[in-house]
Amino acid sequence: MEGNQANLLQGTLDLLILKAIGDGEFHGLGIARRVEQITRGTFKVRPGSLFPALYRMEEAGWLKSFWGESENNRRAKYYRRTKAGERQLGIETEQWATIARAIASALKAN
Amino acid sequence: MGVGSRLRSALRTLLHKQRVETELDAEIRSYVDAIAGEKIADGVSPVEARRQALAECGGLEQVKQAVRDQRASTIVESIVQDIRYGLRQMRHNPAFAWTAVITLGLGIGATTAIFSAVYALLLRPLPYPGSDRLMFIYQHTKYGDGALLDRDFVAAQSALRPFESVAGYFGPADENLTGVGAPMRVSAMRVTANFFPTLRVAPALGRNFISSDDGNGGAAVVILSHRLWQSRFNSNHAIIGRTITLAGKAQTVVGVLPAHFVFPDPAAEPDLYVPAGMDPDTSLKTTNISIWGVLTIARLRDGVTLPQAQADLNLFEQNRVKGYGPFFVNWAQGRKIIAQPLQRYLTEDDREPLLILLACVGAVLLIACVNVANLQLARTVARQHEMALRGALGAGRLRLIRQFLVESLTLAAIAAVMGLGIAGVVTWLIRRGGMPGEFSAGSQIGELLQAPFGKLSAAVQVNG
Repeated sequence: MEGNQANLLQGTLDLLILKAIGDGEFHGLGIARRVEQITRGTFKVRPGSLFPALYRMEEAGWLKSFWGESENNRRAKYYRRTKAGERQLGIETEQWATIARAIASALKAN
Repeated sequence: MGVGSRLRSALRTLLHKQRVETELDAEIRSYVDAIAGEKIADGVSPVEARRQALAECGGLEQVKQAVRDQRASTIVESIVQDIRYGLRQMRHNPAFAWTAVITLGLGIGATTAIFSAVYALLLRPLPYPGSDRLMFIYQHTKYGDGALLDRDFVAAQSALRPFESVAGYFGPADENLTGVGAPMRVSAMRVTANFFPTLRVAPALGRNFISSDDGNGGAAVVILSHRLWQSRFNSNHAIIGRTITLAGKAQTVVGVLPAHFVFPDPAAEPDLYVPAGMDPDTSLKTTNISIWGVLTIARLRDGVTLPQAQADLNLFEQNRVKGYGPFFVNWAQGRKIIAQPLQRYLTEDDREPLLILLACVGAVLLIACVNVANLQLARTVARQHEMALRGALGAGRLRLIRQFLVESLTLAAIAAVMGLGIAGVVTWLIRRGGMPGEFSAGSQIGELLQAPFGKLSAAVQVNG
């Protein structure tokens, strides 16, 4: 699927990031790894799309960032989900479910 | 949602640009370092690990640019850049810049000044509450337009149902005011008792005239204008009830008008007011009586339209003629009694010349715009190389168009500022040249309106 990364809808990336962060705190690489993990390796998020998305979502107020120490004692920027981010996750989950149902029924039709 | 937080974040980025950039750099560096660290732990040599990490990332600068591109502040930053660039262009080519700014500035200035006058005289509502219900009533006879005869006026006061009140004034007469300091000439306007209530104006001090003041000849009472009260009576609050001598006759001061009051006809601007004192006899049988004209202002009842009122006036006219003596029947042949909005009546004489003047300066502004547009076009041809170069370096079509728009807007903004300055001077000159009172009342509001109008003019230029 890696060749198909361009087709990754922007909305889907937001949804995946919000879901990946959950109630935890992750730095950029952590989020990329977690997305890869929860999609069982289907989605590899590159920094070129990850960081713009993180900054955009922070501007929208869905994420909050702070500087901290990483596992190997490096300074790293961590992200946490806000209340607004939680609401957004709910909205986007709903939207995605609608789309998925619609596509599935479209594919089953003959 | 998120508009507020996006705005806040854009502001933060603009104010702490350096820190935001440093943090972005640090964050992406730490990302690359982390990947490289993992590879080193896997046994790859440090140099090779770093090379691979960077390659996976797709370039530090590219990532940073991708982040910058979608930041809310990016558009503001690039517009500021465009404005700076536009200003530099103007400095490099001062002949063009000055020509354009002066041409536009003069156009905007003239239009704004004349529009201020048009607004103050024609558009601004009269300074009375509910002034759109105020009508002026006059008669059109075969001898021309004129005020109602006093006896018709008195009859109209009780006969006209569509109007809440029918008030009249006549004069002003110059009278001698004596008894307070040196004698002086004052202009005294005769008004009916309901004159100020019809305009919905209450005296600042004392009381209005009451209907018993209005009896035959008028009671010996007087209401002062604020101006006279200030200049002649030192704003003395104890003036109410005192007696002044007007034309050798003792009159009691019963009221003082508020400072903001202006007489409907600004050319008259009386110093004081005395009761009209009209004869209740309304008959017009013989010519052996003295008759005079009464200028009539009436307030339309709520819910009554002007055509309805006009129908009533026509009926009133017919009924009046039935009671006239032979001389007046002949005189009133083909007469019409007409109501029109008071503002319309007061501005009638100024209306046409002012609108023509406005059209003229509007045309001047348009010509100025066309000239500047031509200049811009000529300059664009000269700048083709620059644009081709920027295009080749990757500037999009929209980006180049925006550049030109921002440059034009900068030019127009400078011209607008200059135009407002010119308009201020011209308005001041008009006001000084105009009759006292004519402009002074409307000018503050007129000036207030210059700002948005000037901007409007500026907006017109951008299209050029």
